[in-house]
Amino acid sequence: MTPSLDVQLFWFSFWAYLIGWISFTIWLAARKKFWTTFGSVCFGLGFVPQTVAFFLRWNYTGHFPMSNMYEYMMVMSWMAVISFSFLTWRYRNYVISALISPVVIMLMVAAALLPKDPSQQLMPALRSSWLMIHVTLASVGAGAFAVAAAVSFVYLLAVRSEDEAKKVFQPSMKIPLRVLVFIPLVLAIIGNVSDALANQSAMQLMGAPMSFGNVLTLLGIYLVPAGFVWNYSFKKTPSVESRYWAAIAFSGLFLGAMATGLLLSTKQVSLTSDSPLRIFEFFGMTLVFGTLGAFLLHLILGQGRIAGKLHLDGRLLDEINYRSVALGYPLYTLGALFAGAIWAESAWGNFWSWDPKEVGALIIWLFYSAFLHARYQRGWSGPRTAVLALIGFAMMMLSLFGNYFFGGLHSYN
Amino acid sequence: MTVSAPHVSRKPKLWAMLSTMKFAIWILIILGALSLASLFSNELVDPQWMETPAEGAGAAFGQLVYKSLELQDPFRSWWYRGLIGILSLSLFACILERTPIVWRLWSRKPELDPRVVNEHSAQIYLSTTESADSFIPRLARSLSPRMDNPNVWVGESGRLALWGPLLTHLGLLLLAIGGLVGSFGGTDSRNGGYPGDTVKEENLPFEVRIDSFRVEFYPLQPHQWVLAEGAWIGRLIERDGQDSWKVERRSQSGEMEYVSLQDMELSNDWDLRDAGGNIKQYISSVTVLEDGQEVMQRQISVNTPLRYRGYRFYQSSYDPSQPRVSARYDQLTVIVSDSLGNIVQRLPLRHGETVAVPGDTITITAGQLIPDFKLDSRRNALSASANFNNPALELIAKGPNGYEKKMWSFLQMQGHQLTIGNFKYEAAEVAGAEAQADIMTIFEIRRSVGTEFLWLGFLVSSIGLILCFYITHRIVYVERPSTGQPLTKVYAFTKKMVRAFEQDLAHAAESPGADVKMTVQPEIVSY
Repeated sequence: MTPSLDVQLFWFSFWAYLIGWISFTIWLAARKKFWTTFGSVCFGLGFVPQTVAFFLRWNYTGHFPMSNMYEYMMVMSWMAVISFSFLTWRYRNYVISALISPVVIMLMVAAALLPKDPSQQLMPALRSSWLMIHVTLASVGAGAFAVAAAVSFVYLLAVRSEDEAKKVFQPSMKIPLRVLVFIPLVLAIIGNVSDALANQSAMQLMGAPMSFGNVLTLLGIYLVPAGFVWNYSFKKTPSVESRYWAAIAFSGLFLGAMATGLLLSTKQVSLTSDSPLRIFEFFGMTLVFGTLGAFLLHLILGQGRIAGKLHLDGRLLDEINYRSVALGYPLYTLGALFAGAIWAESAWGNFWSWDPKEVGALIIWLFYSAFLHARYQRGWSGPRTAVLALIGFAMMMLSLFGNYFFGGLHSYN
Repeated sequence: MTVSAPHVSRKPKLWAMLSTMKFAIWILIILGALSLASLFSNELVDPQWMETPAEGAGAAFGQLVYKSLELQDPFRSWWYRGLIGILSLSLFACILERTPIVWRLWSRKPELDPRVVNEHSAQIYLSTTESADSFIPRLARSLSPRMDNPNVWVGESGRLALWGPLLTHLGLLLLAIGGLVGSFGGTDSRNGGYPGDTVKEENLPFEVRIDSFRVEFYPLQPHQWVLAEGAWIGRLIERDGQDSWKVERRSQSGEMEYVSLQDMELSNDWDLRDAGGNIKQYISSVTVLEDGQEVMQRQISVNTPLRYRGYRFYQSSYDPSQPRVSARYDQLTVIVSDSLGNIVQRLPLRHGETVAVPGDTITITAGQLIPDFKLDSRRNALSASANFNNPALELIAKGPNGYEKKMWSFLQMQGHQLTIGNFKYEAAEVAGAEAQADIMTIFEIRRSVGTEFLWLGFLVSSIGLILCFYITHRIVYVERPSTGQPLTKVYAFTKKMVRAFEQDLAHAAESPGADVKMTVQPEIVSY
């Protein structure tokens, strides 16, 4: 079956963005103006069809195209392109383009993997003009948080003090191993205690029962103590090495959550239904994919050597991190919380129902509120806020895919 | 010698603590963490466990903790409400503390006081050999002049941003108050009925008559689940002709196969409960009645509640499992026979009409029509559906001395005769028969308190957030060089986006031949 025109335009944008991203990356190494011009042209060539695709889909389905994950990811990537274009223009610095364009690619890859069937049938609860306001503002806010996370990742990876910059950077595996070696010990303990719990797992992979579900459940439970070990490794004054591993680990977790969410969205994997186990199954898969993703990133970065060679303006990255959060926070508040509450009042009769998705949005909002207070009034900045931005975005991803394990009023198909 | 008394803060310790930023951050973190934990507690603890008798001290203790912390509904528990209350107090303290500060900043007149504005205190300090008179117009493009005298020029932008944090906090306080008030008051009930019924509630100062209820379906569209040929469920792929669709179905061997079917062979409204996601809207038409008088007519659908006198009626649900079938007909023909089976006469009757039977003392009334007759567990007659699968007509015979007899005559059972008095009766023909199945519609009826706080809170905090995050307050002092001084000195202040401000100032200071020097305070606290 020939894909519809909007999907064809999506693929055109995808390839244009991909070439644009490669151009910006080459510029980062070569610093030749041609590559920024070429990259900008590619992104411009991608942005126009993506915008047209959005309106075509709107026209075709007869409703605002924000009714499935593919459309949500499309708008997030669209927003990321607008953000980085604005920030590049505002700060007159193409480093920003080079840093944020991978976020666009990541979101486009996620969108590319998701089912693109246009849903022309909105369920009655979604037939409201609040859908546009609520979901658009929330996704645009989330897009801004994604930009903050991407910049923070690079900040942790590549920003060094003058003293640190003089030394050769060779990250050792001590910190990740300290966490990972911990696994068998914890698994042995949890495995004995929660045998009965784990044996109830009915996770399915490609429609077939998955015996690995028990292990994934245990890995999910393991994430909690592993976090404490990580916290122990991540000292109050983080060294350049622990900052590097923090960047790798959080990005790995994000990739893991994304991969797991995609497998669930495409129904390649199903979690145990109506069981508290499913949340641990999700975390377990996130951990497996996250660990793989983290080591892949480590290898891509030449085991840290490439990160050692990057010297970027820490103040600029820190300000972009703050600026992105400051841009996204009001949009997220107005869209996810306020518009959502007003819509819920018309649809369900209550401004707030303590639905898991609502609580998730509230937790994210409380987190970013604490972030802003910590930065603005307590003077937190640099690596601290960079780590906070990454944690915030990881929470955002969990909330995005939270329907799979929490259910609730927001669990639409 | 005069000894001054040591300065003692008159603020109570608790108040001082509530108004600190550190406290606010901690309460935000605690609320976030407990909200997350509450989500998990809902997932991990089986509510049925609470109902079973505790076995052993550990389980008993667990149940005691569960009950006393109200973990079955943690978000409405005393401790969660308490935390929201503490957050509200913190917001209130913060607003009271900061209002005078913001007012002072807002109302003070700028002046170049060297004790406050100097090279060291300024966020950005810039000196240029360009004359102030040629430099200031470029600055004035983005800053409004607030003071201009021979010694100093002061420009400012985004002053409104000073009110941003205060309004945001005030709005959030209103939201928290509205939420708390709402969680203690208000009413909530479920009620409904079939078309023709009237919804009444004990404390409801009006009544709502249900005029109709219908379910709307989407037209046939790709990817939709349909009932094909009235027999099997398939999925529409695409149109393969003007009036036909390519339909996907699973064959008996489990393989996917495709067939082409005409529009008329496909339906998407076969299942009111689910219908494969084909339902477009549920709509109840109602009339509001006060003292029996019609006040207004409205349609209630999902996302469009009825709002009247502080009450809201939501289209909450419906019940397709027990449809109430109503049927009507234009004319019924009753064949009257004698005991030998000879037809005596044919009686034409309209619905509800009563006629006297010639040659007998009784009258016959044409009663209700049931299109799909069946008996319930109490042996009451009802219709299983609106289809004429087993139509039955009620005949009511009345005679002298209060004689009355009701009987069912089944139209599809030829020769099914009812003996009353001297004759036998049989419902033979029904003309103009129509039947419809009405579904029960169910409303959620709510009356909330504290919503005024919520609406005001949404408005105030939205304005606050926009002022806070999309407007940046900037103030620039330009010290004109005194005689013999070659340099124009610029002191710039902002609380946000210093790097962007720095770039804007550097851009404004660009001038051929001018020697510009700039220093920026490290606004970032080191880790």
